[in-house]
Amino acid sequence: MSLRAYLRAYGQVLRNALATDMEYRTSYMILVFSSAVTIIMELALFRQVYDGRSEVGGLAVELVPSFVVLGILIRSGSALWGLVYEAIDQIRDGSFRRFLLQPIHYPSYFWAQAIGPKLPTWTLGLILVLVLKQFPDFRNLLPLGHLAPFLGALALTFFLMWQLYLMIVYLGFWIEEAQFLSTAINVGVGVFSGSLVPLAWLPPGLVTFLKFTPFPLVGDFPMRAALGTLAAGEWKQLAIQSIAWIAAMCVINGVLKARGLKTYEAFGG
Amino acid sequence: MSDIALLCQSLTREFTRSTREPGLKAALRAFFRPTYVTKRAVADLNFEIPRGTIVGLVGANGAGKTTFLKMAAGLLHPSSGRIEVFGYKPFERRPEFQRKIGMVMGQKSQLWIDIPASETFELLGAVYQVPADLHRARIKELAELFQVTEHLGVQVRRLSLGERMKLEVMAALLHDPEILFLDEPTIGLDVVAKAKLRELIRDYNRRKRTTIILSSHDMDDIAEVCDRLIIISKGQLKFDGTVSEIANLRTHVFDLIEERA
Repeated sequence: MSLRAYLRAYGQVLRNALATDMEYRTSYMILVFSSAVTIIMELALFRQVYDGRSEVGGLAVELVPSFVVLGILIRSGSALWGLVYEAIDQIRDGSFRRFLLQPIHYPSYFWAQAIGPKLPTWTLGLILVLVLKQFPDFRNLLPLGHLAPFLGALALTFFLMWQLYLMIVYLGFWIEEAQFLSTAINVGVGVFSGSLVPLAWLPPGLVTFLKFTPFPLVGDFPMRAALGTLAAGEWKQLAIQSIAWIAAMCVINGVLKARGLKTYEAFGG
Repeated sequence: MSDIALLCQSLTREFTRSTREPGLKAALRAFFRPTYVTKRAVADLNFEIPRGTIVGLVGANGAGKTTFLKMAAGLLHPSSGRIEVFGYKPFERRPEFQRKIGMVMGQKSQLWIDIPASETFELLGAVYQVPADLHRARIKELAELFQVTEHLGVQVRRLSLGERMKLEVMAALLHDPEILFLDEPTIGLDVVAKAKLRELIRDYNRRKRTTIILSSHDMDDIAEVCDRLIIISKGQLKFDGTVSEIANLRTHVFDLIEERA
């Protein structure tokens, strides 16, 4: 398939996914409302934690509002659990077979389905940042100089999450209720990625363990890139780690897909 | 170009499934020591289907019709024997093969239900790499033939079952496949919608000489649409001949399915 044909096909998947998502307009209202409530609640909680101190566990008090907003943006901007639920349902009810009948590259299809509905979320996130930056408390939120490292880290986060979620979909060939893995990933990202609370606040033993998992790369990495708290050379090091994880998961997912399809066929497809 | 669209020789497909008695005790026992049974869904099928014919596939529930269609479309791997469609081994799922086939499963949709069918059609054109001008012309031609032009811009979930099924068949034909597999395409449709869909299938086959394999429980589908009839019972071939060879289709089919099984 030529690049042009590839872009035409998966660009159309992206457009269809976006058009489908736009049919559920109220979910955007809920997203805006829940984001606003979460920001207010988290700010109140952090204020209690800081209790007049200028810094807790390496996070300066003036960075807290930015931390809270960026945490929400990173988590909601890279979570794909709805898509995973739908894909696993398709495996269970047999409608997944259309991907086997047509000349479709499923990871690309899944990728385009993931990106489409995220475009409005990312746009809302950008608007939120621009609006909040007008308030004094949020003056440290994503300064122009931090934008490129943040977007680079965020892109790697999205690729990593895409491969993680794709792995869950493929596990659906063996595990009927593989959706629980998606929930587990969401909890993991929420608690252990460093986007809800700074990693330095967690027990040191746990932090050491988490460094051997992809969780800090999908939360702490983009967060610190946006806050400008990465040490010299750390961005490059974390980017290499992210790419290594993505490459490893691509290989694992290739094997899971090939073996999973054989299993799927054995039960009737 | 070979005149054989589909060929199967000693085609067999078995499924292994776990079974257990009802109850908690049996569930626990099955957890540690599961028992399996092997079922032959398709057993030793031998036939050829020439290009351009419409073949009706008839059998009771669980007779093996859908299993056969899935093997022909490349969704299932045969346990033994040989199946070829235009010289391709379907289970290899080569893109060239996938461009030659179309499939409609009466109970599974390939349309995106929240958006108009025209959006799915655009996607199909892109996936099958049909040139944009040709694709537009095909959509227009098929929409007129199927009388669905006014429904193209309506969200699929707002359409009636009959309208939706016409669009499903249209979606399967947009890339101009050389063989079309229809698995119970008239299921759930009312008498008028069934008659219309049959007429459309027949008409399309006359125009394009597309090979069509249609599985159905509805004898009228077979009688009105098909040139040839294949009856399968418990995975085995029970009858292979023309529809006109059977004087009273309905009675004969029931006899063949039940007595020889």
